[in-house]
Amino acid sequence: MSNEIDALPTPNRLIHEPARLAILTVLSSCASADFVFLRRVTRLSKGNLSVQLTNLEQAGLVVIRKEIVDKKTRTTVSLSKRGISEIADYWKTMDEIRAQMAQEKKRRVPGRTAPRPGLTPEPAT
Amino acid sequence: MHSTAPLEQQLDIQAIAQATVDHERLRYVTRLLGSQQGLNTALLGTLLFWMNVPDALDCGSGWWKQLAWLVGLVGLTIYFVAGQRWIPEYYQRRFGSVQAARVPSSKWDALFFLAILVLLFVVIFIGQPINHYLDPVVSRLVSRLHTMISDPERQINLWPSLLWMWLFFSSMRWHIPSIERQRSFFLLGGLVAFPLIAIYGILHPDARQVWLWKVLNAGGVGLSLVVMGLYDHIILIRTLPKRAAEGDDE
Repeated sequence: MSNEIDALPTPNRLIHEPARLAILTVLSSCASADFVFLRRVTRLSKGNLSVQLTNLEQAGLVVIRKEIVDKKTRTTVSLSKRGISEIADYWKTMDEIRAQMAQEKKRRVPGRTAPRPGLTPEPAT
Repeated sequence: MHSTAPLEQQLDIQAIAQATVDHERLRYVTRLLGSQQGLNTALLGTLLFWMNVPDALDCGSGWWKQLAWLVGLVGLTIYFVAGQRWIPEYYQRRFGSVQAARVPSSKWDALFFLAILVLLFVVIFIGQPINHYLDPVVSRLVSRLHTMISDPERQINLWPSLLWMWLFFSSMRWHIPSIERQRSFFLLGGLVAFPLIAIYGILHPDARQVWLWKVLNAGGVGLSLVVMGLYDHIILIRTLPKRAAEGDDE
């Protein structure tokens, strides 16, 4: 059993959560986005999006600005400098994981050896 | 950030694959809304269509010509007002707002710039000796292309074909995400359709008497822009559906 497959890089847990990852992915594709667009594109509820944005702001990954436009609050969100580097690191980590998984798959296919216990997906319940 | 936790504790293979697909959609839609080009392009296309088609249908005389100019002028004003105000407001109200990211210059831009420099260097220093051989060929080619594009006698409009060709090949990349692949097929459709219109006109001179061919040929660029703009807009509507249960208030 090889040791290198066990030494996989771990993705940042804060970013890896699907809702937060979706928000950060959107923000990494633009300079800033408002609350309405984020809600539409991520298909999150208002409450869930607010909570996730607060978590990301507390972690220093996003910057939230609020302004009053036509007597309504307009919330604009952008990635902070730390957020930019963290999301880049996250995708780099995921690429490394994918590369290692592909390598492992390639190693298993020629000999048709039994899969390692850790790699067998659990049956859906 | 490396740990020695077993693989099954760290990730789920299918989740990663699923996430990748979804993130392509997120990135694509964000860029699409950030460019705000859909309705702007369609409006510009309508204006171009209106400016080209009356002449092709031989309506360009007398009061009709004046009316066409007047409508064109009003259309141009509407285009600028809509592009600056109405369309951005509509996009913001319907989909929210995105400020487009500044595109950093990539290594490909640098390579392209370097290639141009090298080409200039080649032309300046060794262009003279090969000019003798290349000049007749290039001038014949350019003259032929010019004749095909703008010869009033033949009346074949190749600009739409060139436009679709440019859009199709500029969208080609080594890896095209699945959501952008649909757009590539759409562009391929235009790339096939508009040259066919031109080829039909070249092969059948009688086509120049048919009003439908005249409209498609003369208004090809406008029509292409309308189709492309509406396509982008429909993609936005389909990928950013309005949720009936909740309003968009924050």
